[in-house]
Amino acid sequence: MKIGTYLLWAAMAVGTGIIVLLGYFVQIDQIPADSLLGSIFELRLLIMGWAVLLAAVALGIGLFNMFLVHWTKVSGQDPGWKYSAILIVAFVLTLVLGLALGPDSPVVLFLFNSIQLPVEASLMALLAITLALAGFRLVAQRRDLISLVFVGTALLVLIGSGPGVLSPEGLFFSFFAGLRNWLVQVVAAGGARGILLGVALGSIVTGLRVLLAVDRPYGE
Amino acid sequence: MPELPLDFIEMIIAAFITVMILSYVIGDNVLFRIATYLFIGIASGFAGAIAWENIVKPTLVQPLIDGGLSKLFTPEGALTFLIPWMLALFMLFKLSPRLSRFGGFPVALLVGVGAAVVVGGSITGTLVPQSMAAAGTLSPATALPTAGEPLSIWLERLISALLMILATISVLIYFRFSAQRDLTGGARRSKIAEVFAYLGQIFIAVTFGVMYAGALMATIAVLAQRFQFLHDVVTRIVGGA
Repeated sequence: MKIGTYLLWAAMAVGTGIIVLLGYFVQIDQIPADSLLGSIFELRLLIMGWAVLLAAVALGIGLFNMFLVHWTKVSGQDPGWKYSAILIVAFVLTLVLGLALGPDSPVVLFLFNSIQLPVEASLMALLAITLALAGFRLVAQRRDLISLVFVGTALLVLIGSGPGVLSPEGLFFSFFAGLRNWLVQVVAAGGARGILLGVALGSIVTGLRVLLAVDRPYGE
Repeated sequence: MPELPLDFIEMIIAAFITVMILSYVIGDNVLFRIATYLFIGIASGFAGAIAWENIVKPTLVQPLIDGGLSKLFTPEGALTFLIPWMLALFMLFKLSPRLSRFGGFPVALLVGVGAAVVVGGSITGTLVPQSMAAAGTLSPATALPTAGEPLSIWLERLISALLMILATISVLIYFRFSAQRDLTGGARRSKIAEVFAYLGQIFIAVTFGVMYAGALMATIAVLAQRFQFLHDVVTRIVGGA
């Protein structure tokens, strides 16, 4: 039973994965729709639809699990249970209103605009202070070449970008503005391209390991 | 008593929430925690409602309301309705520790499709375009001097192009895709590869430095916008809603 189900799941992952992957590299509009290959590519769209549905169901399971975790904290009056109670009330209220009236109803949008939007913007604003503090801590605690290059580059880019730091006229400013442009458009662009290619190669290898059933993150 | 307009109430709540979040500057406190738990609750509820309204309801519920159960017994209905229902039900088995192994079947489909999308997207969206752009940096059209171009301008362009290629290659070498292991478990590579890897580290530091400065400037702009918002709220309250 165990080997049977494991093979079935591996076959499911590999089969659906290969059908979806082929869609990236085959010109589908050149294939007659009534041929076998055409049917397989029709199936590709269907499989993608199923995957989107399953992702939504997985989100629902995750939300249910989050509710249970906080419910347990509230019922056991564990440390921080009052915050969990706030979370449960906010979650249930938004979900019930969203399901009953629709997520784009004025009541739900009121909750979104008055709470979710300002929290997101304020957390991002808070990031300015956190980032600045992290930069100072880096200089204070790690004084190797790499850290100095990192902080030095950041300072040069800030000086070259900010009209508030130096006068926007004169040789001094144009030197830093030019240096900033060179750093951003040449050195950082080359480095970013290397990072992007590295991430892409890593993603491809990880994905191929799943598609070849070497890695099986779906169970036994 | 005059009735308060809805947008004014919305603004007052948003201002309170903003102050609660920004209070984190003085350290972790009750106000900050209340605001974050409130945010997680509302964001989760909102995400759940959107998933239901846009995906689950049109796929699983609406066809049943529109066509009834008879739709299940057609080949098209089986593909577009019966199988999604079964997959969703199997997925729900994940909630029970005893039955969770049956939930592996839809998870396998999800993982397979996800892996294919990652591989396909990485190849067509990043690997090919970025490799082409890197190759284009030193193509004759861009690397050779154009007619009437001063030597200094051409040299500057050539050096920039070479530096860009050097940055890309050295960063890729730093990522160590293939290296033999030494006795301590570390990567064993030639001296030249070590030099390039160190150079790659410096280029990564420059790239992250640029990204850090960009993020800092963007977040400072958002911080200023938040203070402007609080100023506007206070002005409106003092001036009368």
